Amino acid sequence: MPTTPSKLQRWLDVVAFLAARRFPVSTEELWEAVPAYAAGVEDGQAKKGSAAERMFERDKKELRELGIPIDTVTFSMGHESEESHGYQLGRKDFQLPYLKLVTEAQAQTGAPGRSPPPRSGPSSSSSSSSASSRAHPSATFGVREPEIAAALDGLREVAEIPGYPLARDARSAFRKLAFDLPPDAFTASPVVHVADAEAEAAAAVLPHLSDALARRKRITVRYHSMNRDETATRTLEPYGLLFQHGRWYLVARDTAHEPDAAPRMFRLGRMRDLEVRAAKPGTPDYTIPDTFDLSAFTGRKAWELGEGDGDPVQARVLFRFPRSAWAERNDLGTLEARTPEGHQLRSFSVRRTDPFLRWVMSLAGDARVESPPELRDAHRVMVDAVRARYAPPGGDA
Amino acid sequence: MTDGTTAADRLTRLLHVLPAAARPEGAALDELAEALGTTRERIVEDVRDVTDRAFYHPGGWPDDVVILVDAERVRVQHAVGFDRPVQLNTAETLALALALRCTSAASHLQDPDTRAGLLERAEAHLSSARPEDMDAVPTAAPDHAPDPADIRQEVLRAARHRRRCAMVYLKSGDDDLSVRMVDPYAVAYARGAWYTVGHCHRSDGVRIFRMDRIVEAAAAPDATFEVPDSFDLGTYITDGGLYHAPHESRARVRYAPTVARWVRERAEVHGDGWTEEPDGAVVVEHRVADPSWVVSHALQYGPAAEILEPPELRGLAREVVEEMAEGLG
Repeated sequence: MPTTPSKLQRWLDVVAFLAARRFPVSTEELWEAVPAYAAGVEDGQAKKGSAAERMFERDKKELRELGIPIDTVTFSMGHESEESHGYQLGRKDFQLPYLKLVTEAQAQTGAPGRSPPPRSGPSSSSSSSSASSRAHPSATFGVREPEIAAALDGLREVAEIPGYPLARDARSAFRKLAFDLPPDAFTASPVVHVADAEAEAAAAVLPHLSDALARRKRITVRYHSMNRDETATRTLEPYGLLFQHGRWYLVARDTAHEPDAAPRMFRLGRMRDLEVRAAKPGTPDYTIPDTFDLSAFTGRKAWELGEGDGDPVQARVLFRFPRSAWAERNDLGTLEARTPEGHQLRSFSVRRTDPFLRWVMSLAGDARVESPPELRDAHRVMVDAVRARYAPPGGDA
Repeated sequence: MTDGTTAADRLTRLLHVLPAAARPEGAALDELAEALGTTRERIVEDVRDVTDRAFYHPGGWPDDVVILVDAERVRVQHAVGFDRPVQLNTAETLALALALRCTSAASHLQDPDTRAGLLERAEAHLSSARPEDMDAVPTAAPDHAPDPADIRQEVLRAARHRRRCAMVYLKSGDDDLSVRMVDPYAVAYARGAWYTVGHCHRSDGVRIFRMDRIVEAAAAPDATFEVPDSFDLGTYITDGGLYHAPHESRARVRYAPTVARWVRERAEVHGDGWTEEPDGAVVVEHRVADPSWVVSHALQYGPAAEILEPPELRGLAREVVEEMAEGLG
């Protein structure tokens, strides 16, 4: 038989002891009941600074992080008794209310919130002075079918995104929310996320980056810059993680050579040898300013990036039908005019003309630049250069 | 990242196993293992830790907690305090918040205010530790490409409820839109784009449709379908992308040294074969399901890419470029 309880057993002891009690318990009561802490009680008093105290404090912190609401409370056992400090499981915050499918009418009257729980359990704890300042939730949580379907399908979808750092939490939340529901309350999701080799590689790095970001710890990484075509070691301050166009990106500041560097995007697939700064693990290395907006980095086209000189160019592009219907469906640019044939003139704000022209080229003649003249000329030059590639040997370009 | 054996991992599992096993019928080990993404052996091992504690000290748990594990099921009696799942922790609440922004959730609750209202209620009633500051979320909401016309949501609803879907589709290389009736079997996100895979009644076969090319979509109110047992989405996935080629060909494309590094990176991720030339250019052999795709793909590199062969694809590229030159005057 084990003589030294494992950490899991210790945690179970703490949670089980608190869960089985309606009233707050003193530190001494708790420590005496949990074998791993028992040595910390001497003459009925909890020894300050003991190994047991340090272990208990660590356990308490970690259990709270796992969602076990161990409240520190002040309480008195009798009318005139001296006040004591102790612990209590925030019972109403501990267990999930019963989820019950309701109709629209029930949801509007709030009737389910007043229903008793369908299964008996321990009665609610009530201390003489609960530390919890939160309103007591209903024992039953009424939820409409579309609501629970939205939550469960959404959780299932984000859990499937390759490498998603909160995937485990999403799966865990799904299990909890689905606990009371009949299996036919939610159907199999038709959505599938397909991971390629880079997504699978990113999945190995993401938990470490996510952890560094949450703790605001600097990282060092070998990064291959495609523009410079060189690999160098960088020290980065992570500001956020983005998943877009099927790729994970880290938004971070590279402060090693430029203390005031602005945040930039780094593709995870181009990172190697990631190390999270280990020194002072509980102390942030940097702060993220309130003005930082991660969403500003999402959905940007290649031609919208870059500082450029002066104002961006306003490019007007003619989309032939039916490509015009595609441009309209995808809300590309701004509609300027329609022709009777179904063609559309749409305008774009362009900072970098080369990626913009190459995008227009990829539309294979379904779109052409109309203005400004210098951009139209550049388009023509590019088309002529490609035309020369396919010219028959010895023929005219 | 852990291998599932830390105390936190094991407690998290037990906080699901114990309530599930506290039901009168107990819980099937195989179902628990599947739900928790682990093995039945590991679940039995977790449960053993609960039973082991009875040998050294009953702790705070009532003495009569009974755990029964047989070959198929685990049952728990008198698991006071462990008969319900615990509330959502901070990370789970964050996951829920992000989940309610994603495509699947939006297809059920289209109004963003309704989703925000649901999250607010869930945070108040289901969460033990609400996130203090949503801006502290370490990840942005997963990008799912804008869907300004709500077409993706309409197709997703049709797929979920097994409704036939009428689509106006712009097929790559076609000069006109086509109307199709499609039974959408699945919706997939691959390489940064959304697709639906389903039976196309016009083609009388399973086809892949890129969502951004569906110009209009409407689920039929009363025409339903069943996904045939023979359908396997996996047969349409190759190297992390969706691919279906009733008539496949190969194309060799040469990329100039100026773009070679991007092309090499892409080829490695996509599993395309490539060779490097003495001047630093690379030649990639692409599998081609749609000739117009390879022309469009090569054109996006401007003069830095050239289709070398087969001759018919090279000829198609020449025709397209001649038309482009003519259009520009």
